[in-house]
Amino acid sequence: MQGNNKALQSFLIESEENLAQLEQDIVALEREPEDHERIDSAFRAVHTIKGTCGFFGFCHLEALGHAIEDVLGAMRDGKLHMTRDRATILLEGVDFCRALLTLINNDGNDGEHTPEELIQRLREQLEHAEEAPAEAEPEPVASATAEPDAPAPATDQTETGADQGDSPPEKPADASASEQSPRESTVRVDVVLLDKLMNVVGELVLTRNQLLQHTTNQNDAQLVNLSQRLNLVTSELQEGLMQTRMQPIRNAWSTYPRLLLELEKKTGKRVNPILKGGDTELDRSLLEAIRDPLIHLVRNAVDHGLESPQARQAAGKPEAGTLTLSAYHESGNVIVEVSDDGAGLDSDKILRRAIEAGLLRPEQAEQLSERQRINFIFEPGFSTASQVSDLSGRGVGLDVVRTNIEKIGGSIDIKSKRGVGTTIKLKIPLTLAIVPALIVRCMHQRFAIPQVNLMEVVYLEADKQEAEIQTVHDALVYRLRGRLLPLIDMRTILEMGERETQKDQFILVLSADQQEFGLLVDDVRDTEEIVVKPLGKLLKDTPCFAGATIMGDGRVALILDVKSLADYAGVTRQERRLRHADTLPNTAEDNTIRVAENYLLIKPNSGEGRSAIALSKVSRLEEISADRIEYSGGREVVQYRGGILPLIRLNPATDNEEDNEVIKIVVQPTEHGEVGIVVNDILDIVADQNTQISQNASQDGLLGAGIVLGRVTDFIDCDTLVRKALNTNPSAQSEDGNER
Amino acid sequence: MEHTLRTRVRDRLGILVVDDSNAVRSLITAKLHELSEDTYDLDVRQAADGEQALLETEKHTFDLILLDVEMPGMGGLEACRMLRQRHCPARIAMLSSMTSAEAHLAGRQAGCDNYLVKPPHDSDLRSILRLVSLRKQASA
Repeated sequence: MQGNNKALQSFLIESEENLAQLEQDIVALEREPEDHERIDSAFRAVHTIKGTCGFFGFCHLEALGHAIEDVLGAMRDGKLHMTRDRATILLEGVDFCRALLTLINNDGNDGEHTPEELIQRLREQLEHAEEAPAEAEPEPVASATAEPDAPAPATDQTETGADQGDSPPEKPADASASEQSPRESTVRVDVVLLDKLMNVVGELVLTRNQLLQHTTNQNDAQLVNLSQRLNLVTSELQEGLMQTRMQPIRNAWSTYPRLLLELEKKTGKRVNPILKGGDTELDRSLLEAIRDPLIHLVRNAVDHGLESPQARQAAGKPEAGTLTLSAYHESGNVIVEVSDDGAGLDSDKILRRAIEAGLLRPEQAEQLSERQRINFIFEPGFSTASQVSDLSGRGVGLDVVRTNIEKIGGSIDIKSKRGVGTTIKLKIPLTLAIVPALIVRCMHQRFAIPQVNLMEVVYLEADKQEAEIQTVHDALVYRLRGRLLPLIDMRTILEMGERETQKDQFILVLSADQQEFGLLVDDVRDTEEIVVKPLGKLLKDTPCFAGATIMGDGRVALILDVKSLADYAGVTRQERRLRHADTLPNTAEDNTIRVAENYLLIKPNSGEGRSAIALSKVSRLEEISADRIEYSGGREVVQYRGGILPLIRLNPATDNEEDNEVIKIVVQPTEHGEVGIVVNDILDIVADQNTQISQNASQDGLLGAGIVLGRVTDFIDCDTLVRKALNTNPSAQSEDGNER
Repeated sequence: MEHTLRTRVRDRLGILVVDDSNAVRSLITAKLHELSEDTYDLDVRQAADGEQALLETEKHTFDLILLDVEMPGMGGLEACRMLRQRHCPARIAMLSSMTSAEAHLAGRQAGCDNYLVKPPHDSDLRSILRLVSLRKQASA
């Protein structure tokens, strides 16, 4: 019984493979009906299935297999020719075989009915076979002359990669032919076992790392030698095991010819597929992960990318569109490209759609580069297809493709030229199990951050912090080379403590989902190849973490999931807002300035007037006792955070007792350090105003006046004000002080 | 007895210190006593969160409430809003480690009179006490 079961399992596996082979062959034959090797291969595949069925008594599958075999046999004998219709019927047969195999897998038998109708249709094909030879007779002659050329395009179009990879070009191109010899030298291994082995090797790598760290402190030459040896062997083992998990990307492509055939039928377009670099290998888990995104891209390319044959002709292109899939290695990553020679992306249409969808404002559009425009197709909720077809319009957009690719540490890029075509480039890491990571420290804990997400590291001195880190919309931002970078403070987000402001910090510039943000950490340690371990059950639901790893010294470090962290901290939304604010024009035109900043509305003095200070120039608001005011060089100052904060008054001292008791200061970073602007009251924050400021240079320290919330408001020019205040003759300033 | 107690209370400043950290409460309480020595008499009570603070204000009258912003359960901002809704006459000073303009304004909008940054400077507390005392005298 046991033995029988095992046999059944291997029958199922083999049959699946044979069906896959059969399918590929049928599709290839539809394009190249005279490819005899293909016919033989297809025939063999179905023959094997049919033959084995007899042992198990799967009579329905046997009958179906027989019918398919007969049709292919007629083709092999030159009595019948492959046509698109015939291919379709044969593929239906393949699908039905699959269904029967599933049935066998679940119930142990192949059901109760023979697919009579399908078998009947297959048999009908044979009726034509009798007449065929007479009609087809001239054809073999014609194709005989074409023969020398014919195989070349065939290999070119579907198996070019195989040719490039191996020296004998013909054999590997035909998978079934090459399968014969290596069959004895290969062993089938359960994937679960491979995963387990990978895990064990991971443990070994960790132990090795610990041992190495330990032995460096020892004085034992023998021990050091042995551990070096262990080191090498472990690396070799690790590498070898990684290789066993590698699969050629061809495996993910195997279904494409079939897919394209269906797409062609549905869209009425002709597609000429070119597959390059099918031998490029990828970790199997990654291969699985990119399978669906790739199919999506291919569907998209045919459905939206390529034009109809008429349109192509009109544009002076060959009727059949070319779809190129290529895979190759590039600096430790695998690159997979899907490119078509279709109409290219219509960036105007994309823009219109993006504006409709509220992804940007019309006035921002002019500022965008072609590339930026095109990239909107990756935004959630975006689809340019004017009509939703059942091919690609499944409500799943490119944003999902991007998300899935980024989930495995990859990235996606798009290039398009109108009228020429579109290329989508996927960059995928070789493996997921072991990743290079940066080790950082936050308080007493260490964290690993995958290198793929890391753009750069910025060192931030403690005394520059206040000046360089600002608050916008309740969130921290850092001005990185003139660009606002949303900041996440690690301590705050992980509730480890409050933000460190007294000591030097590091900002890690991370990118997730095509958005960059900064992460404030206490220290940056080292880069290390870490082995990713899944988190235990208890920690499964925590956001922000992708797993854990064991460091060389035996301690555990959590691995940050950069994308989740960004989502958790709400950076994504924040960044979008900043980006929009950033892309707004800020050049002065004539004598008006367009303002795209948030402003702090204040009352400069006890009067009715109102003023606005750019929020980006505000680091904090403080209320302090007037008793704390001291004088230095005739200027009002307060001791503040271990330093001296010069005060600038917008209001002359008033009689209001409260104002004289507790003063409100707006702390601003300047190039000379922080200064505090003393205001009478703080009223509000006005967001993103498109206020027109009319410049009247009547007063130094004012940018001009504008209307905010229905009232005339002075816009304070902080830079000038501060410069003026700090440069003024101290004696003049002291009058101010003496008045009080 | 009851009567004398009441007249005495009027001379004293009733203060409620609200903070979820026992340590902070004790420190502030001690600091208040230290600062008001020889100047004011203080009656300082404590509460660990917004709810407790509201309960306290139902039982007692305060001249000053020092309110932490971030607390588990009802935080300082909400507590402040509730107190203002109930027309609590006390001066309310927020105490927070958040110094951003937004945080400051949020406190303002919740109805606080002062928004101090943790840890408060002695002078700040002294000024606040002075203001509380002035207002009390004015209303008396």
